[in-house]
Amino acid sequence: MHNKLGWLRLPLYGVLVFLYLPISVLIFMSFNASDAPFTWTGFSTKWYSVLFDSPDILEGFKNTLIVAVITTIISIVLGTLLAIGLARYQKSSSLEAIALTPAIFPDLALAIGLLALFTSLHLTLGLHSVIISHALFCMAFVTAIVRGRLAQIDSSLEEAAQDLGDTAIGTFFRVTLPSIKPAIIAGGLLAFTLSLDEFVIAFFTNGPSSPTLPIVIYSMVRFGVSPEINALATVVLLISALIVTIAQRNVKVQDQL
Amino acid sequence: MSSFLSIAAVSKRYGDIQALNNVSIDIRENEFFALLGPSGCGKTTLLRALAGLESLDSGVVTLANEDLLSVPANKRPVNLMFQSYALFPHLNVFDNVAYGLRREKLDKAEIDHRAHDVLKTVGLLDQKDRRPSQLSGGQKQRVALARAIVKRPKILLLDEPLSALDKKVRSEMQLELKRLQHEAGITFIIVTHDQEEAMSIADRIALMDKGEVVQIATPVEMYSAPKTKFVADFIGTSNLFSGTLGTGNISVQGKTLPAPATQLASGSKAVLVLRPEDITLGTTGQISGTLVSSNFYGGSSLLFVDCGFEQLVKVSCALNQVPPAGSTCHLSWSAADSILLADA
Amino acid sequence: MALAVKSEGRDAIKRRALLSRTLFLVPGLTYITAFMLIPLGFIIAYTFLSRGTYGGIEFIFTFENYTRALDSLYIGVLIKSIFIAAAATVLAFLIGFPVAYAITKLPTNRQNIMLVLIVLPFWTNFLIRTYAWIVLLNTQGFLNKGLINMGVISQPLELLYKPSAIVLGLLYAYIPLMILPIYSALVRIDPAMKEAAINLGATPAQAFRQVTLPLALPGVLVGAIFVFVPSVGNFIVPELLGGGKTVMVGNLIRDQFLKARDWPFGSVLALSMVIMLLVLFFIQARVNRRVLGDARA
Repeated sequence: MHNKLGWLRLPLYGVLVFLYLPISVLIFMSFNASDAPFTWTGFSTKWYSVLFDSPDILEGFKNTLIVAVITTIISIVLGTLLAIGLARYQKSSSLEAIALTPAIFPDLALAIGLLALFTSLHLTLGLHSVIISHALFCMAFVTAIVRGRLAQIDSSLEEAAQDLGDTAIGTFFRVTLPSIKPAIIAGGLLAFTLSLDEFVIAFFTNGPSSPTLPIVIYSMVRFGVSPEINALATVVLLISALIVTIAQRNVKVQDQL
Repeated sequence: MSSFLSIAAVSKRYGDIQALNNVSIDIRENEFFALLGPSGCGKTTLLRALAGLESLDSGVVTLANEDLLSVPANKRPVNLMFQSYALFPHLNVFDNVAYGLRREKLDKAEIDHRAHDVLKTVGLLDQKDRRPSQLSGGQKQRVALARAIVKRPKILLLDEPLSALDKKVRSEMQLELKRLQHEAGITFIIVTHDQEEAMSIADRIALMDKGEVVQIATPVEMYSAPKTKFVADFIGTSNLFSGTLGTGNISVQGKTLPAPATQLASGSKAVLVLRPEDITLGTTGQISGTLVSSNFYGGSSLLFVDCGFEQLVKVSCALNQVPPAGSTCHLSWSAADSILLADA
Repeated sequence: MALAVKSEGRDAIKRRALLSRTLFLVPGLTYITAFMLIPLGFIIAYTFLSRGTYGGIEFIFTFENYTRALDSLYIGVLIKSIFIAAAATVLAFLIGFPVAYAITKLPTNRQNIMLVLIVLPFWTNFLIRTYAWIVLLNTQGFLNKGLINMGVISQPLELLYKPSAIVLGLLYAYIPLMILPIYSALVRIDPAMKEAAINLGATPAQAFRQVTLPLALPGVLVGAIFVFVPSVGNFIVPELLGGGKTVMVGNLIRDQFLKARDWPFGSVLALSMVIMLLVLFFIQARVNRRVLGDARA
């Protein structure tokens, strides 16, 4: 079939080069022996060991992990419940739109709105406020993916369970939940990566004492190119890519967007 | 009678599947022709090849003595009514119908005139500003039909045109299709898997199986003189008894049944075809058995009688003569009404 | 005839249905209300309030924030931001459409692999993906070195720190979000549509223009929203690739909140972004209805 592609091969493979060339160069340069950012002098992994000796990076990584894990848990619970509610109990396109809006709402507007809310509540800013904020838009992604899965599976499955004498709660745990498990796993993994890599909202809603890893990266990249950033970037890119690839195995993520 | 559309020895292969194997069919002008067969028999491939949407590996197709296969799909005087109708959702009914005329670069007055005319013929003039999504299934089908015939093609191809409609609308549309075909004077080729539909609508039928044409005949011929066991089984309801031929009889699962005169050699494998309506219930018969159940079909009933064969024997019976279930039935028929075919 | 099992009464059954509906929907919707809709209300309220002496706000009603936003300086920034974001969106469409179209022509299993390859970078760290372009485009960077070595240029080109670099960065960041919705729209088109057009006399080019393209339009607009909205409010790409020279509305908003501490004025700017999003969604919904008819949402 693919011999029908013809000239379309050019944009197709061109876009892949476009997407992966900058990342590849960055990964390549992270193994540079010299600290001259643009001149290749030889292979070395020393910049990776520098990462593990940097207290700022380790602290940022720890904070990010705390935020991402708790955000993921909240997102999974709220997002899954909401998706089931929207799919089975209240079919309403406007409620559905509201549930998915946090995913596409301009992050800067979300960030300052949340900052305004927290300030007026006299809430001290810290990892907890980042978690609250991240859970908002991560939840929308879980909702979208689980909702997509629920649309594919027949609601008569649940009706059959109830007809065969199962209770509503029993049906939920024995029929509904197992059938949407791959979507919940995929949604949770994506929520985790999103939170892991999110910068704008964390930047506004975080306190000064506990920066997350993207905030640490931001303060580093503002001052230009260094092999240390290249190594850190490589690690972060590979973690995200790995998680998203696992998520893709559970659900075709691209279908849900 | 001269051949209008001549399909000669066409073949098409997809990987391991032989979709069409040396298929030859001659279709006459103004004929209502049906390509009938189970799914995967190649009928749709042939239809799409005629429309130019599929290429053929070998063979020749001529339309009015001119090579059809060398004409590009968009220039063929052949229009197709798609199974899914394929109405353009972004255009209203009128623009859907006018689409093909506009591609011919006709002047606006003529396009308007012809589109209006055809919409009137199918009874949808009132709906001309509606979108396809606002129409019922039957209305969509009429738009699809109008869109194809407005081009005044030499041949109209219809891919399972009635399969998406419910039964009542379906028989109405069958009549309507026949009427239109008469009025427009266009050759119709319909693809269907529904033998009843093909039998009731078509002048002639080509029955296909596994990429090959099994028999080409009028509906009556095909019913009364099937060429093979496959045809006898596919067309109508029948009892098929496979057995070994004796002289003037056939031995089926240990029982001997009378057989009609035949060219087949004694001792060869054969199948006896017996239509339910050729069997009569009486006090004596060639075979007898217990009535298992009866199904009511409009004016008559179909009885299922257990006569000790692997399959139940089907007998049609007038409504007021249906015996109670469990009673003994004696079945008789005239050997001349049965058909004897070689069994492969 | 009495049922053998105990009847619970219709009210009890209705009550239980209501309970499960509440149980599923209320937590999530409450969360969204509390942390999205109420904050949005805060932004709207702030636009009519005055700036406090030491940052924050004072509860004095005013329209001054809006009149200030109409100042040619800020209008200029807004227009420049829209222009840059629109350029990225148009480029994303021009490149993304053929890519999405090409993917639909692949065998199904390769379609999925290709889609994963295209979305994968999108899910990784945004800062790092933007930073990667500095490594590539810097005057001493890879591209310049390569071009000098090949003898194409003698002096390194200044590729960074100009509006075109911002457009490039935004295009790079968001092009997957253009390709995906166009792909989804294209694969949903019944292949019989194009065949019908050809059967009715259209050339393949006409069939593409008159049938495929209009039917893909709703997907194109979703893609346009997904690229335009995060682009217009972006402040990282202008800062890193624009070198802070080209101020976009995102930079302005950030500065109003974190540096100038003029929250009411920052809120006006942020609200303009929300309004742009809503307007674009409204247009998309209308086009969707027009193209696909009323039956499909």
